[in-house]
Amino acid sequence: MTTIEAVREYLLENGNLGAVDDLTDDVPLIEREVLDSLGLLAFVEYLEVTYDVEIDDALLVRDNFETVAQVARFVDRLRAGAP
Amino acid sequence: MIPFLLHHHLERWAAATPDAVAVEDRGVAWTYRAVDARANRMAHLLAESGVEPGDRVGLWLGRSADMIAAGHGASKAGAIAVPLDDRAPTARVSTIASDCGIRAIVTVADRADVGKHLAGAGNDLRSLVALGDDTDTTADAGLVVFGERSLAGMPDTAPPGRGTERDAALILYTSGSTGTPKGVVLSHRCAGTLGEFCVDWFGLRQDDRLAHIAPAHYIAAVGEIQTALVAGATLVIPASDVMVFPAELPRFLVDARIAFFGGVPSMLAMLVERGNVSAADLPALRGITFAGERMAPRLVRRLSEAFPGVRLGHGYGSTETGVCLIAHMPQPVPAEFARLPGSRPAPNMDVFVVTEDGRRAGPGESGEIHARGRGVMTGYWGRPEETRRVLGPHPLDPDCAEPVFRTGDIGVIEDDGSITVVGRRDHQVKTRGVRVELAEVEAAVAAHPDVAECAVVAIDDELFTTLLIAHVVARAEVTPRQLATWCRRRLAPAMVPARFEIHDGLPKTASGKVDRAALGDARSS
Repeated sequence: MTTIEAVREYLLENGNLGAVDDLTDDVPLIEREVLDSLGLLAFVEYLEVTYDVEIDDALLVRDNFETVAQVARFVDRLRAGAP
Repeated sequence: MIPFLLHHHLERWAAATPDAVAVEDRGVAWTYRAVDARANRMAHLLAESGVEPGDRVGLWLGRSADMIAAGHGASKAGAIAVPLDDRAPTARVSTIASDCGIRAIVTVADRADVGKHLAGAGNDLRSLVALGDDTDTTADAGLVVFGERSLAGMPDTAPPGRGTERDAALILYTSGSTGTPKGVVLSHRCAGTLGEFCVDWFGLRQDDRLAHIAPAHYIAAVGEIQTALVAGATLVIPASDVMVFPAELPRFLVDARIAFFGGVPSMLAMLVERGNVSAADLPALRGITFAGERMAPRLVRRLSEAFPGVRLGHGYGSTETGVCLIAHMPQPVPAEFARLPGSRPAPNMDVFVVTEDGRRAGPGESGEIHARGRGVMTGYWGRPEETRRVLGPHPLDPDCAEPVFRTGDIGVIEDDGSITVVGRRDHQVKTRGVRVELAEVEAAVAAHPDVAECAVVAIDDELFTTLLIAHVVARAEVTPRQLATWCRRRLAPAMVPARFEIHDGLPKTASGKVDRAALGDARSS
């Protein structure tokens, strides 16, 4: 499974999809409130464990979590060793 | 004139300091004159759309300057404002619209279609104001939709004042134990007192900038808005994601030069544990309040360390009562700080504890906390029986004509006469500052066709104080994911259990009830 597929699958299972019909790569996750503060921390924990990466609080910013595609890119960058 | 209706404070400052900034909404400044003029236009438009005094007007807007203008517009029209959760699924909004017979909804342009859908669902919705919509007024299947142009065409002068301070101003929906949300009806004086006491408590001034961060449909948001408008101060609204990312809230507080803000413990925990911020970054900050759920003494100490010169206030209350009890934390908080100091009644409130055998509790005794005073609700909308269960004659003083609210919370009287809240009598819990009736969550889970039995319990959590866990016995194959999706379509986000666990059976007590303690319920005794 690619990162983007894994991210989508996680959010389909755990995100708040009340205002989202179809979780495409570019649905705004924060604006549509798919992720809230509790959801974000659980999601970060999942990413850290699944991909064996460390995500510093300073990296918890909108740019890295805006969309499914951006989260996947962010994780892939971390795995490649670049923040 | 002494302000007695919700919108009087706004009108007072619009006359006295029209060019002062009332609201800063994501960087856009709205003067007192501008907010009041938009509220006046809204009042005229609502009246023209057929809204009569006492009619319910839904505000489906989220935290914004428009929400504040529309809410005050509804008040000026003599209507009752019903702030709606802009994150809630449409089904929940529809339930609320039917429950209190909403006549008109004010919302944003891109939600107008959902409004049309609601109007078709057999409720009393007749008109909709779509803010930011440039199209002409349309009428479709009994629903008239007004856009921004209709609003702009209305006079910006105040409509004739109507009503008294005891008339209903707001209905706020909270979690109901019967499985459906219930509407708490608050009068103009309830709404006013929320702001008035905070201004005194923290010595707030016109040049202060106050944060508006509570979700718009909570009583905490009414408090934030009224506090700023009573003080003639500036209310600053951040982008929505300050509550999501740990670094965003401190950045907002710094950039917006906030003097005063309130939060629930989980938010403040995030701020001090992960926000990486200190008093030096926030020279304007003078006061922080916390309320909504249990506050760990350790967290109070961390707040005190991070913000040594700042007054820390603890509030206890509910949607039904406003703020009942308040306490100041010692500053600095001593190193050996094992428990919070006891609280005293808030201004305009009479709060006392009644023992199980019906006496006023004295030092060392405990009982149910009762509240009377300006903050107490009128009742639950359309639920006379539920209202009577909690709002009734004074249990200790038969001569008292005013109803007294039984909070359902257990309090202990300290040696100095102050009150400490120690727990609940029922299955109501707080998670992330939101009040949740476990029965309402259980009803939603149990409504799933594949669920045979379920129990929802609250467990302790370091950061979020409390998490909801659903324990489910299935009658057919069902996954936690399916149950979560099911709940998200029916419940407000904070009410959706954080985890679903599927079991073959649930542990039972000798009497055959679900053994909640065995499921780890932090509230079971």
